[in-house]
Amino acid sequence: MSSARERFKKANSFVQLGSEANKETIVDDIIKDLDSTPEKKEEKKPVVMEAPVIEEKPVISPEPQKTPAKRAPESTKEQIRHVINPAGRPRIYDGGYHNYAARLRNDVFDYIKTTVGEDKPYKSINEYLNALVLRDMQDFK
Amino acid sequence: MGKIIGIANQKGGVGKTTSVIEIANNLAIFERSVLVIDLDPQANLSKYVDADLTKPTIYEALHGDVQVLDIIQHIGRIDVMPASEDLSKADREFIGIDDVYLLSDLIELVQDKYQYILVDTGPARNILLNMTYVASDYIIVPCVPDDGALFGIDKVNRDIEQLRDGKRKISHAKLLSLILNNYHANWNNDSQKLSNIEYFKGQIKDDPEVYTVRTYTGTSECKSMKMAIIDYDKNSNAAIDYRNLTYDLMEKMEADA
Repeated sequence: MSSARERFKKANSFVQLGSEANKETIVDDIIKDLDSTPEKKEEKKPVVMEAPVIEEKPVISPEPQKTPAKRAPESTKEQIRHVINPAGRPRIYDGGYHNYAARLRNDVFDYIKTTVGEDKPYKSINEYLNALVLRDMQDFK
Repeated sequence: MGKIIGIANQKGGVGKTTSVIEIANNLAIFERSVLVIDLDPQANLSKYVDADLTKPTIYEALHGDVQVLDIIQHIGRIDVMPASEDLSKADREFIGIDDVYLLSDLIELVQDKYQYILVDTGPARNILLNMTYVASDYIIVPCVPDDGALFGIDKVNRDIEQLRDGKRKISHAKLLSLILNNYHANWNNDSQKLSNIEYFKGQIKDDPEVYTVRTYTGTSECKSMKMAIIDYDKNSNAAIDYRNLTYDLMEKMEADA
């Protein structure tokens, strides 16, 4: 071990470390102290740093977020509105077009696959979306 | 045990420190405990967050002159281990073969207290950068849309592969993400650089995510006010982009656990 590393470990030897070997060394030293000076029992308490239990907390934003939800909403038309605008072009989505619009498109495609089923009349999502746009353009205004 | 994220790029001025500040603050907003370690000899992050540089810094801690817990400063939402300009002497002072593990030893002492530990590095290929590669679980590479972007990413990737998969396997870091800062969606040059990066990332073994952060003209003002963009102007494009990419990365890292 290098001298810098030795120096570092020596300086921090009374900080509770993760390894069991160091824990035992600290506890042995503390027991020796307790045996020799009983009146100091209250002062020499081992500092135990327990690993905090990491709970799965829901994400709570302190203020309402301007960006829409990451997951596409339920109805197909709502989903499509987030992906393409009435002109049929991809809509710029808050948070970076490249990542989130692409993911929303995948979400919509999955939704269409499950709702339309295997016998869908369209070969691709683009064909389906184009048909919807041409047919229902007034709904998106 | 906390996840250790190193932010590295040997090119300067690409937004490493800004990315660390924004990601750290957003993680704290998402109710995660965060420690930021400034390992840049220029101490930009420490000055940016207005840390007290008269107190012991990570330079003294790495030398074993002070205990690690004594250098942590709580600033705003996050804890910070500030840097010192004396870190510029690191290459001359940490020359032992095992000195590359010093940062790992330091982080091991506090890893149980935090869920995320971010390490900001300087724009230099030195022992401090090696320490970061050795200690980190993940590496994020910020860049800007210019000709040097791919070179910077390639260098970091090759360094990680050499330390992780080479003869002396001393690193376990994974290239998590590439962040393209100062991005203009409607500029042809920036779109072309993004396409180049997305093409290049396919050749990287770790398959990192590519994120864009749209340009924000108030970045200098934020630094003068010692505020993060998320606090200074939370509805700006950059703040929204950082928030979204932080959430994304957090989900990905917590799914890895």
